[in-house]
Amino acid sequence: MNASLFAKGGRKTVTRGALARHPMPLLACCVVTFFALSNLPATAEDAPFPFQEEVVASIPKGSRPGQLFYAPVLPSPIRPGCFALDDKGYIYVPEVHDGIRIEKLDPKGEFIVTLALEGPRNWVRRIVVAATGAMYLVTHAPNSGGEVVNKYSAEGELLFQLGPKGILKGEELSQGYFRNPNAYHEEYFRSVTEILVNAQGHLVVWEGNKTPQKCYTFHPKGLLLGTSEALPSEIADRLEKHRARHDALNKWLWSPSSMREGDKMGISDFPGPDGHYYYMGYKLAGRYMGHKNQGKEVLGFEIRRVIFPEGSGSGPGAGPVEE
Amino acid sequence: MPRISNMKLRVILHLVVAACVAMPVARARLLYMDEIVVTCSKGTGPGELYYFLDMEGHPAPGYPRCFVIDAEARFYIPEVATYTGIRLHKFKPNGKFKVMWGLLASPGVRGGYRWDKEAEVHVPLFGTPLAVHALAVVSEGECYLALTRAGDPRTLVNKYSAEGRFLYHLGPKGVLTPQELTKESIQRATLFADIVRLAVTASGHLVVAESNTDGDMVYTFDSEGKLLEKRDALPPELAEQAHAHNAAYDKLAAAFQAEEKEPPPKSHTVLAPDGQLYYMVMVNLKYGAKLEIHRLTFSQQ
Repeated sequence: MNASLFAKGGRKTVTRGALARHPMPLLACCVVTFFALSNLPATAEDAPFPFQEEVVASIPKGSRPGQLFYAPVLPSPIRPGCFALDDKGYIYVPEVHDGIRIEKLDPKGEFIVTLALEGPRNWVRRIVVAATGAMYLVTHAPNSGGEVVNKYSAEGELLFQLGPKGILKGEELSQGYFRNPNAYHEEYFRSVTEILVNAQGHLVVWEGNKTPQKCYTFHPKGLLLGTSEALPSEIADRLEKHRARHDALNKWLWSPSSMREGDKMGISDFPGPDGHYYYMGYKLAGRYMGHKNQGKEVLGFEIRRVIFPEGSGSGPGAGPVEE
Repeated sequence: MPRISNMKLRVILHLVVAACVAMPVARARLLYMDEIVVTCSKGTGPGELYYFLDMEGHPAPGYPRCFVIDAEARFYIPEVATYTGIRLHKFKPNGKFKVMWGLLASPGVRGGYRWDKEAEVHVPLFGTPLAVHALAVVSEGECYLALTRAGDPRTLVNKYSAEGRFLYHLGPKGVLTPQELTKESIQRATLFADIVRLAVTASGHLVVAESNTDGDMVYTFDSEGKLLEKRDALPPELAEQAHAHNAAYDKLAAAFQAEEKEPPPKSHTVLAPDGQLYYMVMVNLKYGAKLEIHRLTFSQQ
């Protein structure tokens, strides 16, 4: 045996030489360790989804009809951030890609048509569809921190745009109208937290983040019918009825343990026409890693239906709700 | 009463004579009024068209080849864009943009393009829509598109519902099955050779005028896609329309030639239900391009 091998420098030389000659076992160990660790629960709270859910619609990423363009970019200001179901169960998913586009799907999740709409090219924050098929979209107002509500016919024709005082027109909507984009302008809504159509077909716009909170009711033709500092009793009662389920679902979806499954979006305060809650999530190739997800391939979006267990106490906060 | 001098009287007389001489000349020139009704700029947004002419003036593959005007004077312009598939732009009677539909070319066929490294071009995958050749709109809002697909020299007709949902593919024998659209079926005559025109009769039947090597053929289908009739001439109702269109186009060609302008091809003209002739023209600008639809109103002369 060569004595020089036991010398300090010699041993180092041997180790380097062995690694250089046989790197595969070490690499294999590294790979196995990585996969083992990546399959471990992310947090101690990591738990299976506590409700029964099913995928209603799957929308792949892409720029063709029936696809969503901005799916590859995770939390992006222009990614699809909301969706709506009408009373027949049709699904509407808006996104901004060279103007507003709405992917319309039938209740089975099959693609029908893409509607590319006239009007603003700003992020769609909320969407609601009336029983008549008319669509109301909340978008950012031009050159302002405020928001406007855009009404489109069922066919997709822009009918009018609404501010807190009623129909907006002229320079209030001009993209070239110069002013401070960060300032609050009273002709626009400040922050719409909920938008819905009531039983009479009136549009209710709720500014919940404003102090004092304000609720506007509009006629379908855009006329302001009234304002109040509280939600109309009919809506407040309905909201209260569903609060337990909504809060339970919302809490779980936004908890750290759920983030591994994807970004949860579009949780409405009210269930869909069939009484179930729906949410939209990313369909990722691989495991969602919270903020480390950059570079993960996003295959598209999924609209999922959450089915609460029958009877009280069988799910977290999920008591029975009779409509 | 003011007196008019001889000099002034002569001037007035000369002016009257000059006006009388000039008017017939002016009237003779005013054979038609040409007004722009619809303008589309180049772009990918709603109401914008993706393809125009290339740098050498040749039309790009998916450029708008046709347009139609429905009974309520609304305009429909179809196109096929590389990355966005079939798009149908709708305009109101006043020429303002209404909505754009993104339509499914074929259910289950994702389509798209692959990059050919050697040729350095994007090659369309089989089944990707390439061009819309003809369009017909039913009064209820349903529409038919005649389109060609990558890898397939034949033409097929797609039917869409009033809300834009794909309903079925149509071939010369009726509704097509998915097997009749595969690569293996290309040699079989399950699709149309070359569709020159689509029209809908008053009874709601679709008429497909096909041009092939054996001569022209006209097929009539019911609203369910069932073949009703196959003949070598247009039905009398559409023959009359075609005759009126020919007469109007001849008038346009004569008027354009009188001004030493090149008339648009007949396939780019439409005789609207109100009897007015419309034509489509593409213009390459220094920066970008635009498409215009013009309305021609002929004077009584």
